[in-house]
Amino acid sequence: MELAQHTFCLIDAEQRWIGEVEIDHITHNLIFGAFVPGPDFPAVAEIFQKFEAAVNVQALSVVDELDAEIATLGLRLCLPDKTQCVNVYDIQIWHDGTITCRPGDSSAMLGNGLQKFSANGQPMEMAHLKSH
Amino acid sequence: MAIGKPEEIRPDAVMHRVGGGTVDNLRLSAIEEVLTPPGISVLLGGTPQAAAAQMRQAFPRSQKWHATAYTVGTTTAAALRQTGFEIVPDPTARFPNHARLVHPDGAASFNAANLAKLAQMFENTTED
Repeated sequence: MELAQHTFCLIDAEQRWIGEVEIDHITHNLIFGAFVPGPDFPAVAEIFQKFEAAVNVQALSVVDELDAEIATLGLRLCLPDKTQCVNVYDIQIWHDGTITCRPGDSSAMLGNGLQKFSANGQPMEMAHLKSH
Repeated sequence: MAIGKPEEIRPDAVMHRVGGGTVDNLRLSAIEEVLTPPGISVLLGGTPQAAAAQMRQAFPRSQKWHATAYTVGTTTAAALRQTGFEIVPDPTARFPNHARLVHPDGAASFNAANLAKLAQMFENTTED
């Protein structure tokens, strides 16, 4: 499914209409877009508000917990007629109406996707930890 | 992921507090006060610039970190331990080099006097 330059519905695993995503651009597998809340967004809004609050105070272990909670929603981007959908993970919805997410399964973030988040795209230097 | 132990971090380990090593930026937030143990986030290893880049890459639409991530406070485990604070590994999915700066006596020890001593141990780098 071609993602760029389209408007999608954001649907969760319970088939709730969380909102509408107008994709602006995709860079390095990261989707940037505008988010318009749907009728079921209030059911999940608090998670994203907590996420933004935790990010703002740099409470990164709390961000991690909220990431896991967001992953359990099972969010997908679907064409308006819902004939085609793509799973997304690392979904960040901000109060200013912007959204970012990545196409794929959340296991990519919790497993071998770790290094995607390393500085400058390089494997993280772990030499500061003592070897056992 | 499980939180680690202080002895897992070498005394010469470098760590960064994005936003700067100032008293204001080292305070516990309400969210962090209820953590077990209470503590603030730091990033281990690398350079101050890499730590700032990690934050920007992890949260590409965060207004907060795209506006203020250019100042980073840097210190070592040995230096902060001199002030009575401690550091423990606390890797997360986004930040495998994440650690938690804690105090053995808990949240109450993140007070103004202790934070002033702690802040003196940080060298702040500001990107142009």
